[in-house]
Amino acid sequence: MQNRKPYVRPMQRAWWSENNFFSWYMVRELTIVPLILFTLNLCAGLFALVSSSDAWSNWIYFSSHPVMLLINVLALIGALYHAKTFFSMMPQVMPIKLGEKVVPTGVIVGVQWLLLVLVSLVAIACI
Amino acid sequence: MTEHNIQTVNILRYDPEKNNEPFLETFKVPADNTTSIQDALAYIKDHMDKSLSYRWSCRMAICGSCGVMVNKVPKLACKTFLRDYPEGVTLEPLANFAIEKDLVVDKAPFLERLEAMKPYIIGNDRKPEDGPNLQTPAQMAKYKQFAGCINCGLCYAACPQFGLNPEFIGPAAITLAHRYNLDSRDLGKVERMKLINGKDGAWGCTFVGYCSKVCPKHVDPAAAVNQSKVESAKDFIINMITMKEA
Amino acid sequence: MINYSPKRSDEPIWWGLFGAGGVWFAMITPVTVLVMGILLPLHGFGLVDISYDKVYAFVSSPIGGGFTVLSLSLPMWHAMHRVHHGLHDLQIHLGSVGKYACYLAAALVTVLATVWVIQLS
Repeated sequence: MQNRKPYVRPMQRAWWSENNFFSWYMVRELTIVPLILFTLNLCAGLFALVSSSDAWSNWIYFSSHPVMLLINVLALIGALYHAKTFFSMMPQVMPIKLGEKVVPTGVIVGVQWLLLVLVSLVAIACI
Repeated sequence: MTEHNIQTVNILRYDPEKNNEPFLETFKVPADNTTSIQDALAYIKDHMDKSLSYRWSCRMAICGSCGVMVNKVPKLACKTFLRDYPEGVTLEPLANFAIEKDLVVDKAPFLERLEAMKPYIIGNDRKPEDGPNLQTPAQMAKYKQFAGCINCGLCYAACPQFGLNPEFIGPAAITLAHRYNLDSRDLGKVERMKLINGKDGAWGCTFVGYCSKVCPKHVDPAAAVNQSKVESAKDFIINMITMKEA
Repeated sequence: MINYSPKRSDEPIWWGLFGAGGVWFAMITPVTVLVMGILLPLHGFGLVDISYDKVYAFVSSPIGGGFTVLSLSLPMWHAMHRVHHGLHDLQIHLGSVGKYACYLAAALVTVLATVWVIQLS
């Protein structure tokens, strides 16, 4: 054992770019960037709502700026991509059993998408 | 099927007595449809360079010795075939482990972790005269999937969190702990949860999920680790309510 | 070397909030973004009417107010947990200062949203 000289390979700084799987993981993690910007802007909207109807109009004007709209479109796409990843991880984290049998992954993922569609339709119908 | 062609096999070489860092060496290996990476390595060692070092034993995906990176993806050399890589392959030792020589890595950190999880039945004081410890099919089904691990270490090579934090207990060891925690014959969960509850236990994981993708036995370590997070969260709440010291 | 008696991690708290936020982000945020972030600034394409009075009435109702606070705070807890771990993935090590800064930001959004909703009702 005297001649051991183990070589440690350093972790690459851009390790997530070396492999498609890791790149998609990073995309998943990055969905929070437009989410944060959308949420902060929505906070501003709540503050405007509390302030006055003029402030509210100004906030809507600000939100209609192409850059803000682009961020919101990205937030929507990001939320849907997050949903895709989150729904497929769910059966791994919390497997659901009906009697003795584990409910198949496909069913759990499908039910979650169904719920998402239902929630969205109900919300839109309520406007 | 006996059609032979010549395949390019690049291997990351490192001799601790001669080299300061690893380098790629190219070999041309005759191959047909049945040539595995394992066969190619054997051919190189027998006919081209007897100094090549690599691990192998069973040649049938059960011993877990022959893990290597094939074009940056952790694979068992015995169940990976050159026919699937018409452009040639680049073989490297398993990622996230220190290289001892050529394709041989230091697996001590991995084995240390498996051992730390106490992967055996604890606290069951049945005696031989009590007869066999029966389990119902449902009791066995709870852990069976997680009992299929062959300790090949591919999941550690696939885990960026292990690469980023060498203290992370990692997929296979947490899966092994989860397997015993789910076993109706075992009473050792309290001992194992101590390590799972730490920041380098289940909480070192961010659910990249690549471990489950590369697992040659479809054990799904990502599921075991994340179910362990649920267990650890329950343990956290119980501990808070009962105000016990961690 | 393995630490055989590690300190219990406080991750269950943050992970719990992250999980709740993750469900909200997946199930409810998409339609929230669609309505508040896209339809509202484009005046509903003339098809839906989201007026000041309508939003005011919704947010000042008990259910609407609660929904508003959760819509702002839960996704934020989720996001800041990912920021904290994402920095580690990018090998930017800010230690516990970074960690608490992340969760403080989420807590701030929660408090502000709650105060503003209460002011309104």
